[in-house]
Amino acid sequence: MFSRIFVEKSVGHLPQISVIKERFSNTPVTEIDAIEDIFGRVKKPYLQKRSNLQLFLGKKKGTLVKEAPDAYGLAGEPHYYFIHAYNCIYECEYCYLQGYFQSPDIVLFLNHDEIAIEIESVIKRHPDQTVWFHAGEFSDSLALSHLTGELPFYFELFKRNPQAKLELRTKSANIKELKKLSALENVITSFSLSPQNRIKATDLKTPSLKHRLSAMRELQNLGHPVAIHLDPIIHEDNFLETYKGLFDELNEYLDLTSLAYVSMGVVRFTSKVFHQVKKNYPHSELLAAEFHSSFDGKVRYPRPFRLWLLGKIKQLALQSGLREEQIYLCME
Amino acid sequence: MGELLLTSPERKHIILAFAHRGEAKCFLNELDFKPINALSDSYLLDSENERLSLVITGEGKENAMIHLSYTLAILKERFPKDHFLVHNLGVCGHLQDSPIKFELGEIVNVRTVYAQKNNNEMEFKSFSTVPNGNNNNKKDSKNQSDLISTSERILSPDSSHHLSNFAPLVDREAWAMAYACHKQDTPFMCTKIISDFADGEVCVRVKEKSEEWSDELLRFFLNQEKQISSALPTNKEILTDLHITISQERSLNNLMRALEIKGHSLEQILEKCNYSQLLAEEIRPKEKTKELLKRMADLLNPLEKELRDQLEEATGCLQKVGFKVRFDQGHENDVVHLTTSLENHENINNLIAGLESFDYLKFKEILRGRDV
Repeated sequence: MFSRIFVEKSVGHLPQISVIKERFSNTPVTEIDAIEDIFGRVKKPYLQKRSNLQLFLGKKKGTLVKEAPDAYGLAGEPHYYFIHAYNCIYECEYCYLQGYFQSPDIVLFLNHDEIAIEIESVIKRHPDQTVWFHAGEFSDSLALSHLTGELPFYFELFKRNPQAKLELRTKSANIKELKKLSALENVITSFSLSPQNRIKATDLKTPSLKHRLSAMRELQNLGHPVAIHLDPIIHEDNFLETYKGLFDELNEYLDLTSLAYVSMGVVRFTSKVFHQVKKNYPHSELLAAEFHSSFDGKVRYPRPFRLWLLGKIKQLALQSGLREEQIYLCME
Repeated sequence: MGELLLTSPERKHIILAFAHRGEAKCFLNELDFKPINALSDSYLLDSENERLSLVITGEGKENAMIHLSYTLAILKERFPKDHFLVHNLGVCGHLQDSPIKFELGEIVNVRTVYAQKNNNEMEFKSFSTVPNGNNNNKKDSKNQSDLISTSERILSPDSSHHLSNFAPLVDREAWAMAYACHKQDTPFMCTKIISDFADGEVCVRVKEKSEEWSDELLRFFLNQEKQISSALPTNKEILTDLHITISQERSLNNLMRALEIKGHSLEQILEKCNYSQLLAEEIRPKEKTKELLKRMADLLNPLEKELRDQLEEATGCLQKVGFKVRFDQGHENDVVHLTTSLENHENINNLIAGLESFDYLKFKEILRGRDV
């Protein structure tokens, strides 16, 4: 999986380092002073993740918890995200990470104790509100969780802080570590889903829809709160039939009425990311669509289409048994 | 149906770029290069189907950048229709602290070129080479790797160790050549033969081995030449029955590419756009092109067509009385922009009647995604 592992001296003693080294015993390991001495110092082409993906292990410096942008989650409550990793093992053609770090290499930050201190300090600043914390803004929350081993730590943290909520965002079906933990009402695992044909076409290397649905069902059965992100919604010729099929499958696998929420968002790019998509995936179906620069400078479908797509999906969701209050529109 | 011509009036033109004459020795001996007038250390081999130039830039990033930029500019001016590609060939060093191991004499296709600045810091800007048969992103690539163009010829152990964190190979020119190509929008390829371990031994070895290495590079180049041509655009599809401007040609190519991505073949596109019928119509060639582009856009985006038709219908009463109707790009606002000219009192009454019959709420519903 990794062509090389770089370990910061400051974390060399942590037990997780031994676990990772053992798991990748054939991968060369190099000790370094600081991740930033190597990572991001040169512009590494995004698609080199296919042949030359490197892993960096170290400590995150600077701000560890950041306020989330508007319309990030359920409205009316403060939302924050914390950064415990950069980049992702998957390769979604629309992914904003391809224009973000100038390197596809995976960085895992292991100073979770310091992240926890910042999270608790944010919670204290909002004594009368439910504060949301999202993991997975710059990486997938579960894909490597069997290696990184931080989930028990965060479950403990949010057990101590029941007034706050934690969202673990993922496209993986890797629930091995989650299954070992007792469910908490305030820790929600949210799965980003698309119809299987879209997953195959654009969400390269991600688990199939069926695998994700099975994982979701297992978690639901164990009492873990589960949510869904129908994001990004991408238009295609038989769009309505495809999404109808997706909702049928959701109904088959899950109790939709007990989902914590379902968010919906139509595909969108910053102009920088859109440029990267064109460069990295010149034959992508995404590029056959007509996009415009929209109200916030992002590249999107024309507004009537976006609203039509959202309206149709919402209608299908309601017909499938979801309640109005379970649904929210993302970033629109 | 009109004739669809595949034309390739331009010739492929590969510029072989070497830093040292020794690296180019066998190319100059074995191939029939002739010196190029007014360009020092530059040679040309002109054949019926393609051109091959050879340039020796001299050592170091500055020499490589200046010499190659100048040569490229002159050749592009002299052969304006050619499709250029620069292929840098030469020796490189291998950093032994790198986990990727190469043997001396091994030939490597370079994938990404990095650089070390004069202060020994890494240069952020990097350049990717064009694939040459071995796709750059494929996994099974022992014979492709990354390279750093350094500012020093001999590296200290510390410097060598630090650089090995970024790439396993070093030379002194490739990054500058890639930069020159980037600036002139010219694809760049790079093939290196491992000559040394960047420890100072290279100078001794070059004297002994230069002919052998040059011969290896020539053999490699001749084997790869067919694959190289795939990196060059050769054919341009032109609908010869139409009068087509440069910007229309760009639109046509974009639409064609997008429709192909959606699974339409060229024949299907032309059939669905009623191309043969369009050709038979008694309208000016310019109008035919415009109409073809519109039909192709409608085929690509049926929803957009539906939306346009609905807006046309909703604003028909305004257009009928003389308003020119315009909408915001992407319909980001529920706004219709109207312009008109008044010539007499009757116009005013007509315009008022048009405005009164305009159903703004219906118009707004369309923009808010009502069934399109």
